[in-house]
Amino acid sequence: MADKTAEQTLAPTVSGTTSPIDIIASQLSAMVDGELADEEIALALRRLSRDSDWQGRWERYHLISDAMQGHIPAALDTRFTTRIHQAVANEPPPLSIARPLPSWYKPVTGFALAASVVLVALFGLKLNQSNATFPPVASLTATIPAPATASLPAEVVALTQPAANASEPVEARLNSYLVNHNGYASRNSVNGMLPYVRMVGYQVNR
Amino acid sequence: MKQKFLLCATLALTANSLSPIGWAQSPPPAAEEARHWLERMIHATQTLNYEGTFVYIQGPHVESMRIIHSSTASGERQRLFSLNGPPREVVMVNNSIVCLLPQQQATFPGGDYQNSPFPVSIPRELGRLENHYVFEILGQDRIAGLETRVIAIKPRDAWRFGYRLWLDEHNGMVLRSALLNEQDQPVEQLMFTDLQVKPHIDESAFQSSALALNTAPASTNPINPNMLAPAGEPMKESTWQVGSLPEGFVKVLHNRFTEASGQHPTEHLVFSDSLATISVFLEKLEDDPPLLQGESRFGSMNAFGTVVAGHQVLVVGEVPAATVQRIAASIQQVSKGDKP
Repeated sequence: MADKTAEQTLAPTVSGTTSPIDIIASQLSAMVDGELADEEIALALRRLSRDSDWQGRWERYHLISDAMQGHIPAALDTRFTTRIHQAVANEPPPLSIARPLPSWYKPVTGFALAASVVLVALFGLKLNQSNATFPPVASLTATIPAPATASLPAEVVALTQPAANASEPVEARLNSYLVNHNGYASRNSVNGMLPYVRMVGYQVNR
Repeated sequence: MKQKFLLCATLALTANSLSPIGWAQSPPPAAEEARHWLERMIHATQTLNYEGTFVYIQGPHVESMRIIHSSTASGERQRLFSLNGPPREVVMVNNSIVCLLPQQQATFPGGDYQNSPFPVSIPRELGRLENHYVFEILGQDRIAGLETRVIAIKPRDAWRFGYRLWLDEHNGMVLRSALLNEQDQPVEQLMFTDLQVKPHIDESAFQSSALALNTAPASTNPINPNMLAPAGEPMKESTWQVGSLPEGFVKVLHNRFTEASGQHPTEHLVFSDSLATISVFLEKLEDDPPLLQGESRFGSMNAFGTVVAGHQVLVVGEVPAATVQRIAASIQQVSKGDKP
């Protein structure tokens, strides 16, 4: 229906003797050259997406255009588009890109950014899960040698952790550990101001 | 004790004379003088009325915060809040802390805490500190337009981090501090860009406008019970043993707290060498997966998690990674009968 409309509205702009095929040709040609009017592009694209005749022309026009501008590669794969189409058709459907936020994610105005940042920070926490055993420590007992200059744990945030691993209780508990630590640390340290600063600071430092 | 101190002082002096100090051509830095400066610092941070803005740097992260502190006959009050990003705030009234953090509003009641509130016993704390750190004067510098004395607190072993402090020549207030790792690289820095010491701080300065919370002392403004942090109850007995602690760390707290929901009872032990603080958390895992296994890091804080006898063990502190790992590895559960 829309196509007809497009062609009908287009018709007066072209000479009365022009066949619909010629109109298509001139439209496509203009689009290849980037000269089609914006309002016509949408209609042309819609037609292009489902009309194999248009698609064939589209390819050929591009080929002509490339040839005229000297952009033809040494070898040409004429079935390139078909193979891309097939590959796409065989792909499993993509996951929804805009995943819904977990139900516990309830940012309050002003805290929205922080909520996501804390979430990331706590994913980061679970990063080095592999070293559950710690053989080096066995040697660090009674004699208390200086610890080897241990490679510092990378200050990293892995976003690769599946979201399923994060649940509100886990976060809240880890967060409360850290707040608790600093809350009590401030009362035992000669430099009593820093723990408060850390409490405020680590909330957005990832 | 006195002998021990003398020995430490001698050691410190020897260490100083051996290590080149590139900061200034001042007379040989004396541990005694550095110690005097640290006493001034503790006194100043607790007794002065001040308002200031500082930048706080943790690795690649920079932010600015504002601090307001007053000390009057009725007690000590401090308000600290972030100036960029989402609003975060910590208010300390005498011995209670009110935190207004994203996802978290908590109050730490001070009453259950076994140690005396500020001021800490300065000579005693510094004396203990000198067993594990060397104090040095590095020279002079200018911070926030004010002349400062630069003091180093260097660890005597590799189980703790060192500090560098810039103290106001005039009143001893700390204007800049840096926490240094094993390689002497700063892992955390704080520097005032502006500090005003005042005879009196106006009451309105303590009103938390951003979060519309009245931060008056708890006695006049009962805090919403929903905001109370898990109440801690001191523990006399425990089935847990921390087998290996770096020298100088003593237990300053052993509490048990439970979430408001009644879930996840957790034991919390705090160890301190007067400068560094290490927390050990022990939480029974019901059917939950462990919260943390292995090492991790929160800014300047290192953490190490492990699972022992069906409990999540989490050790966290502003100490090297090796220290939290060593402590985590030494934690074991002993049956009640085994304990004296």
